[in-house]
Order: sequence, then structure tokens, then C-alpha cells
Amino acid sequence: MIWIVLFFLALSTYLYCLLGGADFGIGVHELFVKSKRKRAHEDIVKEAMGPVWEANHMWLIIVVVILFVGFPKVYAEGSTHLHIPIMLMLIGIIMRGCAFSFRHYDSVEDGSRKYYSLIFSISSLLTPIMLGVIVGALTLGRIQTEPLGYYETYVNPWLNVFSFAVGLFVLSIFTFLAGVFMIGEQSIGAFRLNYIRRAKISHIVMVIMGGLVFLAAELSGLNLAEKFLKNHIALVAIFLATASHGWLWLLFNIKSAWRLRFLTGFQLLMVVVAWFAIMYPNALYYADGSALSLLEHAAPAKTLFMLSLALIIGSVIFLPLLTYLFVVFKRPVKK
Amino acid sequence: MDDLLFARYQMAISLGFHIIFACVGMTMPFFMAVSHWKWLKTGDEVYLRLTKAWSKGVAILFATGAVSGTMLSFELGLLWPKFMEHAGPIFGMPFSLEGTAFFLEAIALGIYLYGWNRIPPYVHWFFGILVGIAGTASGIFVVAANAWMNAPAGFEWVNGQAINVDPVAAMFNDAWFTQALHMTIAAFIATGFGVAGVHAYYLLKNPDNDIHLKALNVVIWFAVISALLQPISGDLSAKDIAKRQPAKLAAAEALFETKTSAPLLIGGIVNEEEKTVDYAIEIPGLLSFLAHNDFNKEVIGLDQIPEDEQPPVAIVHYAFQIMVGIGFYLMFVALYYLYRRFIVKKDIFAPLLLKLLCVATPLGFIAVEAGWIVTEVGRQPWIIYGIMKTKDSLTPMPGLIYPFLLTVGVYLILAVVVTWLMIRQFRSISKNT
Repeated sequence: MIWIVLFFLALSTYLYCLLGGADFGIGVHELFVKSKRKRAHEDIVKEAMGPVWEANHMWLIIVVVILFVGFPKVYAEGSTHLHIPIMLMLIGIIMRGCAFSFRHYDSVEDGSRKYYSLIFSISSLLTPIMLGVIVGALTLGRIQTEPLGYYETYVNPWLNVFSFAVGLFVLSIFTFLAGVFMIGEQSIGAFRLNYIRRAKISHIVMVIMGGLVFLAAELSGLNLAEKFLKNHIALVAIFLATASHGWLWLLFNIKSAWRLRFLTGFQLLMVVVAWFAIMYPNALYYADGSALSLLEHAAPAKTLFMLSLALIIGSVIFLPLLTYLFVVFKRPVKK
Repeated sequence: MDDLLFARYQMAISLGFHIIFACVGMTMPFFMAVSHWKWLKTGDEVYLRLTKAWSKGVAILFATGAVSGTMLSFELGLLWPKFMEHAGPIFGMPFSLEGTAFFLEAIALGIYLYGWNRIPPYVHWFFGILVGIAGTASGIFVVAANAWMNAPAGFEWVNGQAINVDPVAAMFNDAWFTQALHMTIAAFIATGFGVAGVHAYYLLKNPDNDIHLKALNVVIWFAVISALLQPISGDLSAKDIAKRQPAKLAAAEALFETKTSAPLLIGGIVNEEEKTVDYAIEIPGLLSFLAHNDFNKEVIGLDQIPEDEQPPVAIVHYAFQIMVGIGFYLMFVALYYLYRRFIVKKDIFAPLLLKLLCVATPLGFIAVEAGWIVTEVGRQPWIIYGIMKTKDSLTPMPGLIYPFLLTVGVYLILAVVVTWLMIRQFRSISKNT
């Protein structure tokens, strides 16, 4: 049963990064839109994101629920030690979600719009960085087992070069995802060309950031390269992700964006798989070198069984509906 | 000690904020779907405009509810990690079902909002209903999880560890039904009177406005029926609490001494030091009757509860009075509507009724907040009733005043903006007529 739960944990994490990630990326792209194009751009964003906006962010709730039901110790330890970045991420999530909806469903259009857009963009930077910082902190191993001073216990585990390098890497991935997603949203015009350029730039930035993560790991005393070399799954995954970069560049200018989207989704999958592989079976590392294992700290069998059942039944219900949602809003509106 | 207080305040504010949007998310889609149905049946454009206006409101309020709900699912761990470490696997089942239902609600809402002219009309309408069904289901699941904190079940507590965990028994704990029923009806009352009140206000200002009259006719039935059902559900809850959580009932009724033929207090000022209630109206024996169906039976007072297991009395008592008082006011408004509708029969929405409805606008929500204060503060000092105390589950992180202030700041700003957006929404409905 624990395998089903772990599978859904990985799947939900991946889907949140993919779908939620593209949402975050849009906010970053909006920062770089010329003011005269701003309004038209926002309308395209609304059409592209509006229908799936709420659903994309539900994956995070699924991740959290799986954690506290299935792996309560991990959830409790993580949220105790990473209280501050989690809180900052939540503030970001609240500001974004609200700003987007307020902007698009307000019945009067006036100057308030530009404040929503500003908040939307700022929180689109904050949230992915904090998400990455949390992931980095879990990986790095500076979380204390015994409470020391405030700084040592609650700040140092995440306020470091490595965690922020991961944060920026996550932000660059999300920006790239959004770029690729938006290419497919417009088949002609300057808009499409513009996004092809943006996707290319963000792709280069993403690759550089990925390299910087390894560099930052070295600086922070974490031998990340060695972790990869020792783990075959992670090595293969990261090789496939890297090797597909060249192919990706050939796809940018092809009319149908589906192959490009698919390949990008695959690259992200490989990054997530690689991270799970180097962490497995642990969820977080402590400063004394010990780790918190998912397998050893799982909920009782009966709980895992009910959780698996809920997840499977849930999938049977909402996956077809989700597919329907993705299909329906791609249809042209009948006049 | 201060940290405990700030953590509790933060939790209270986060829950108090979220519950308003949760109520709307549970019930407003049904109003929207009825209006939509009438548009499909009559082809009257006014209903179409009303449906679209309401659905925009739902979109804004749902988004706010979704993010504040996300915040809550993390806050449980940020503030009460020891609680979640033990409780997660036990009461996790309603949470995982809630996650599923909430997800379904989000998908259905997406399809509904963007489905105009894209999918067959009745399929489209169905997704509107689905938003409401999934929303109500997710509300019920979350309340079932809360009920478990009041009536822990489905495990054995041995040496500070839970063993023999049975998530199904935990979900169907003794309190889930009465709590879920009371909350679901409350959501219909609060949103029903909330929406009715605003439309009543505009109708009062502009009596010929067709859209507001139609809106009122749709929503009034939800408000009236639920307001008349709520006293029955309240009675079930009172009897249930009398059995399971005598300390909570004693606090709600400010019953310091165990009494046979206990009186029901109306109003009054609680003096916690002296353990007295001054200036209250006493109705002899009524509390005994409400708690045990017998005017002479004994009701357990706070004197039978150990000092360190007593909840704060004054706040629980005042909250309880406010909730019940509002409940009665809304019930009388509902009866007055029925009187005009079935006995007077003409000019149903006369100015007096409209004014009474205007007054009712915020009251349902105030009652919901008050009710949650009774439930949550009345459970103190326990986080899991009889098993784990709130203070023992607190995060070891010091300085909890800062996340508290941050939360207050964010929610204050959001409350102002959302209110302003709703006012704009209602104004624009009027303008288009």
C-alpha cells in the first residue's frame, strides 16, 4: 500500500510543478511585457489559464494531505523547522490566487487592475523561490535534531546559498514551462514569436541555474555530484533530461506545439524523478547526518490502505473530468 | 505562554476568515444553478444576467476560500505539529476525501465558468450543480475531521501513542453527524440571508428593479427553509454535547454549579472570578429539558470539571447567546416571510420585510463565527478532547507573534478588498437594468 501512496505523492508533486509551475511562470513573464501590450496579454493569459487556474493548485493540497495522513512525522518535522519559508510561500500563494481572480472577475475595470497585476507578478517570484528553498533545505541537511538557538534552528537550515540556488532553479524551470505553454496558445502573430524568444531565453537561464545548483552544493558542503554518481536512476534521469535539450531547440519553431510541450513535460519529469531518487527513501536530512525515512515513518497500514483507496477513487472521478476540462476550454466559442 | 496565545489567535483568525468563504462556496452555487435553471426554462434574459453575475461572485469568493484553505492545511502543521503527528493518520480519511471533493469542485467550477456556449446547455447546468454538491461534500468532510477532535474515536491511546488506528471509525465519530448537519444548514442560512439582504437593500432603493426581485425570489427559499430547520439541528447538538462534552455545555450556559432542574439563562454578564452570572433572565428547568428532555434532570456544571480542564466561560457563553439569538431572529424573519407569502399573499416583499432582511445580511455569518467560537473555545484546553492538550501540541518555535501579525495583516487587506469587490459586483447588477 505504501507504494501506491508514494506513487501518488510523486505524481502530485510532479503535476503541481508542471501545471501549477506554468501558472507561476506566467506571472514572471508578465513582468517583461511592454505596457502597451499589457492588456492584450492579460486577456490571453485569462483565456489560457482561467479555466484550469483553481484545479492546477489543488495538486499542492493533495501533496500536503498525503504528507500529513501518510507520513505525519515528516509533515510535523518539516513544518516545525521550515516554518518561515513555508509561511512566506503561503503568503505568496494567497496573494497570487486572489490577485488573479480579482483581476479577472472584477465587474468594473479601472486603475485597480494594475495593482492586482503587480501583486500577481511579485508573488509569482516569491512563491516558486520559497518552494525551491524548502526543497533545498530538505536536501541539504542543516536541520537540527535538538533545538539550538533561534537562528541555528529556524533560519540557518534554509537561509543558505544552496537552498536559494534551488529556489532560483525552480523559478527558472517554471518560467520556462510557462514560455513553452504559451507558445501553443497562439498559432500566429507577434505574440507567438515573442514567446518562442522568451522560451529560448528562459531555457538558457534554466540550464545555467541547474549548473549553479551543483556549484552551490559544493560551496555549501553538500556533495550533490557524488549523490548522482552513486544513484543509477538519478543519473539516467538527469542524462535524459540533459540529452533532450538539443532536440528541444529543434522543436521551438514547429507549428504544432504538442511535441514541444510533451518533451518539456518529460524533462521536468526527469528532474523530479532524479530528486526523488537521490532522496529516496528519505524525506529530509538532519545536520548530524541522520535522515527521516518515509518508509520508517509511514502511518499504520490501515490508514495507508484507506488513503490509497481515497486516492484511487478520487483519480477515477477527477481524472476524466480534468481531461474534459482541458479539452472543453480549447474548443472555440460558438457565436 | 504568549506563544500559545498567538498561535491560537492565528488559528482562530485563519479559520474565522476561511469559514465565510467556505460557506459561500458550499451554497452559492446552488442559488446560481436555480437561476440558471430558470433561464433555461423561461428564456428570460434577466435570469441569465443574474446567473452570470452570481457566478462571478462565486469565482472571486471561491478563489479566496481556496487559498485560505490551503493556508489552513499548512498552518495545522506550522502551529500544532505534535497534534498533526499523532492525529494525521487517525482523522486523515475525511481530509483525503475533502481533498478529493475540493478538487472536484475546482474542476467543475472551471468548466462552469468557461462553459458558456462551449458545452450543451444542460451539461453546463449540471456542472453548476456539481460545484455545489462537491463544495457541500468537502464542507461535511472537514467538519467530520473537526468533530473527531471533539469526539475522538478509532484508536487506543497507550503511553502517548495511538495504536489500533481505525480511520473509518474515526471519521464516523459520535459528533460528526450533529456537527456536519448544523454547519451545512448554517452555511445555507448565512449565505442565503447574506445574499437576500443585499438584494433586499437594492430593491428597497429601487422597487421596480426586476433583477433584484427575481434574485430575492430564488434565494429566499434557501434562507427560509434552512432557518426553520436549524433549531431542530441545534437541539440535537445540545443534547449530544450534554452527553459527550458537559464542560462545553456548562461553559456555553455559564452553569457554574451542577443543578437539577437547571435554568436556561438569557443574557447576563459572566463573572468568572465569583463564578456567577449577573442580570440574566432565568427560565427554570429549560436547560435540563434541552439537555436531557426532562425538566427535572441534573445538568453537570463546571464544579464537576477539574479546574485545569475547564474552558473559558465568558467568551463561550457570550458567543453561544449571540448564535442562538441570531438564530431566533432569522427564524422569525423566515416565519414573517411565510406569513406574507401564504396569508397576506399580495405585495409579499413589503418594505418592512425588506428592512428585516437588510438587517439580516451579516447576521448569519456572525452566527457562524459565534458557533465556531463555542465549538473551538468550548473544547479548550483540549486539542483532542480528553487526550491531548492544546499547549502540548504547540510548535517549539518561539516568536509566534510575527506569523500572527503577518496573518492578520494579509487577511485584513483581503477582507477589505473582497468587500469592496462585492459592493462593485452588486452595483453593476443594478446599473445594467
